[in-house]
Amino acid sequence: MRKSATFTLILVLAVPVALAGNIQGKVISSGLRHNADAVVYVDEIPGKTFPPPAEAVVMDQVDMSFVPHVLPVIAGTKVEFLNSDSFMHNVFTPDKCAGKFNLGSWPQGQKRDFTFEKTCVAVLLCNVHPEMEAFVVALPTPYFAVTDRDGGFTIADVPDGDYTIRVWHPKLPEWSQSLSVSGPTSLEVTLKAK
Amino acid sequence: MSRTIGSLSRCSMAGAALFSLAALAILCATPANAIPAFARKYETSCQTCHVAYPKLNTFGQAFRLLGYRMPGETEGQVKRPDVALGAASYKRVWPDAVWPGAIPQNLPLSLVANFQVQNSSQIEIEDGEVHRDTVNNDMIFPSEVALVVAGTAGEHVSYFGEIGFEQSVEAGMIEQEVGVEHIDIRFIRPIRNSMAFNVKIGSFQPELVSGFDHARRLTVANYDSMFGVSPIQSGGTEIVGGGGHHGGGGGISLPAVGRGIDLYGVVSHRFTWAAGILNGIGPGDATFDANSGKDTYVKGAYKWGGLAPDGSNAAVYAGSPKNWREKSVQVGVFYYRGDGKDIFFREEHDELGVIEVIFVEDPDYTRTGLDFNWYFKDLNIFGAYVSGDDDLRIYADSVTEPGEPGVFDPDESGTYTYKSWFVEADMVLGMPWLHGAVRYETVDLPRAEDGLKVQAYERATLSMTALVRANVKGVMEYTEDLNESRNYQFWLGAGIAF
Ligand SMILES: [Cu+2]
Repeated sequence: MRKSATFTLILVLAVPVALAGNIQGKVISSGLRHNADAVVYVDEIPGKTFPPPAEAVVMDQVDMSFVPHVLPVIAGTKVEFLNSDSFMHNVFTPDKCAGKFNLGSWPQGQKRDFTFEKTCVAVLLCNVHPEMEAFVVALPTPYFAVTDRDGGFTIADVPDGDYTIRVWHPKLPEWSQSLSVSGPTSLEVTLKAK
Repeated sequence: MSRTIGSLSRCSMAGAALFSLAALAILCATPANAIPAFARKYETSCQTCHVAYPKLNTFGQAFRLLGYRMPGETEGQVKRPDVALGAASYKRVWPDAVWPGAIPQNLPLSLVANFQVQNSSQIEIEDGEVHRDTVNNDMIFPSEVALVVAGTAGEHVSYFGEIGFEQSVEAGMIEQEVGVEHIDIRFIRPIRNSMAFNVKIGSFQPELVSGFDHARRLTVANYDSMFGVSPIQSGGTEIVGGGGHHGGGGGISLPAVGRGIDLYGVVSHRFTWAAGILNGIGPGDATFDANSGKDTYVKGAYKWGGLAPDGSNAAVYAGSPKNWREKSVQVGVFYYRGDGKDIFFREEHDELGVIEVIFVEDPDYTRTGLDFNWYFKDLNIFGAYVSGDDDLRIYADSVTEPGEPGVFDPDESGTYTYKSWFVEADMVLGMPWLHGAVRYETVDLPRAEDGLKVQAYERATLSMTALVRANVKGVMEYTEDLNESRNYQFWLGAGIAF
């Protein structure tokens, strides 16, 4: 009876006029307090690579928490870790795909950065405050979104085509499915906590 | 003839034998100053403030000194804010309204419990014969239970209290006792919001020493060379007029806990000072203080490097992410003056089978000391030295009123001096959850002005703490009298705080 994951998938294919469209929908997680923090993304597209953004993406350490808790980026993106608190923080990861980096500790208002070259799910921890935790999810495409507390997400401007779409969440089993995008597309996923 | 004066007092005063210190540590209230209520308030780990609870890291020391507030604390850091007793704007209306306060959403209670298996051996000399008392695998479950309450009551006010539950065995009966170990109210930065001046009122651990913190130590064994020396008691005696500084016993050495008023502060971020007034020796027959004289003390300490004691450089200080580490050294001096006028300690001496009763008064005594605390990599080395002077006045037993001090004995009376010191090295052993401690402590017990050395006390302690969880630990500890290897204690312990 206890399947590791159950899901329902609803696809609504709109009139194929546009060459690209938003993938909009919900990831409903049963067994968790809320539906936030799921990363919904389009997996690797054969023959296509995407350059990382020229500007660094910032993850803040404020009020003894990492903000945001889950940060998806394109592989190759430089992430800057800012300390906004009135005392020092640290950032390190035990994950190999991010080179198990430890950026040391630094005071208020300062930043240190790390470039996530490979696709990777890296957990970020603070040695000074063991309760602090965040995730950088480095992805192969720029087509990703993070769910809000209601589970809602929008992946903007996905070109029409056939893709593998995946869902990653720190506490949910991984999910993937092929998806044909042709204009605005909706997607609903229900996942059960492990 | 020079008389033997002095011993290391035990927590429970009854029937102490000379130099029976090693066996006593377990009977002493082991302070439990870990405050999980703050882990709840800030939703943070114990490790934010503790190296291994109850031992604080330097951030935790600043948090404590700031009246249990984070350096540069913001509203957002407090995940479970206090309930305001009046809107903040009422401060503008004062004195036409009561100044608003604050209370925690839930009573900020925490429970600390310890369990110990004791193995010990103790040499006692009775009627010239040597007896060896051994204890094997005595499961003292629990060895300590304490309810700790601590918090903030709006701006500038904080409090700390501890209600301890203790068990001891007395003549084949398990005695259970509940007592208020500490309770105080603190006015933090009452003047111009400056850390230079703060006030603590209550029954508290005085801010007398800087280099070590007996209430937040890593070891089971206390710093008896600092807190357990009694120049008066010579063992096996009943004490009239009180049992030292603290209601629960303790020597007339340094006060581990006292009833009084403590003024303290941090000047220029790195110089800490304190001055206080305590009841001193007590209790009396019907009063908490045994006489009307008060004890007074002052201290000063300076810290080089690391986090400033007031946490003022926390926002610009990039220490080590290993939050027990920093490069710093603190050096402090302290001076304590006690007034024991009109307090007569009754002592019995066995002089060749004849019991001789005398009375000892310690009208004026001083304790002068210095301490240091050095952090380097995974090491924290600290220690203290104390020199004690006691102007002891010895009286014969009264002939007219037995049990009252009689004729003053000028030959035996005089200034007695003791010197004690200890050094402890604490180390994080490779992993942040494994902590070791090694301590050496020694006391040169009182000697008369003729310079005759009575006896020295030496003890070594070896301790290991493993944090099984952030708030659960196991402890293994061995402590031995270096002059009498048959006096030792070995503890296996476990503790939890929540
Ligand atoms: Cu942190």
